Amino acid sequence: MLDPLSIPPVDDDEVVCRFAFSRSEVSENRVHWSAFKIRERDKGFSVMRQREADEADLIREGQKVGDLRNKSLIGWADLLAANILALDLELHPRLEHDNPNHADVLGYPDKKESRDKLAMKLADTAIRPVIVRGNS
Amino acid sequence: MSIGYPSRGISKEANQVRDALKDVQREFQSAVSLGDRGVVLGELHEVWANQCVEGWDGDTASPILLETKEIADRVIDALPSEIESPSVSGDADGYIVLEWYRNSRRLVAVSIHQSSWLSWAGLAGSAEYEGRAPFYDTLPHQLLNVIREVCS
Repeated sequence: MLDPLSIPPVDDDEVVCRFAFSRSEVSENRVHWSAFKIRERDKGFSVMRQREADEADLIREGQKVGDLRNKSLIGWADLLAANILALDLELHPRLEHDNPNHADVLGYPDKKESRDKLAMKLADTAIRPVIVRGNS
Repeated sequence: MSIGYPSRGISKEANQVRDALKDVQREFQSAVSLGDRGVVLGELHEVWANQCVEGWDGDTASPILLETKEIADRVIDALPSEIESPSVSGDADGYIVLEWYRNSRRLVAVSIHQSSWLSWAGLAGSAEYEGRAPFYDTLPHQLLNVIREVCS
């Protein structure tokens, strides 16, 4: 995990993951755009940087998020930072819930149809879905 | 297939039971005659029933209102018969979403709101689509063209 006292900016070639808590968002063979669909009140979504983190770190931090929502971690979608930035979105590292690998993806448009289309494009650029065994 | 019911009631209660059974039979026959669309309408009802209360996601999701479900019913009714049936889901902002999904680069989703506005977004190869329009029991041509493009 990253040093919480010295969190570096996100590099283009970093892989970040979007945690999923529903089987409709990620499955063995697809990442569905609903994984990137955000509430009308929100401006973006959270991801976890994989830099200096191993799979156990990802599962632990993902389950911590799930515990806050009373849900089980189903898995996550891997995304390349460069692909997120290419969609005119911003990636901002931020320490959250003691997780130094947390980052915010910001810059969603206001119109619902534009937001949904953006979510579809993000899902299309996802590198792969990862399923957590035993939770799915 | 048919559902049997007594042809003659001997009391007010028996007549009520007979009428109720007739209603069930009518609905069943209606669903059968609608075929695929009947299945989708059943899915729509199930989505609404599961998501019609606030916090249905165990978090802070808005409920899907009955008005929204009734508009979605009419949207499904308005689909031309040659268009295959969509999948149905609800979202945390109270929208009902109809979706045609081929793959991550070939899909279209229509979000239905209680205000009777439809908003849609879709990808079809290198083409991208988005739009919104009010729904007056006829689907907008732009939307139908996107659905046809995705399903072709």
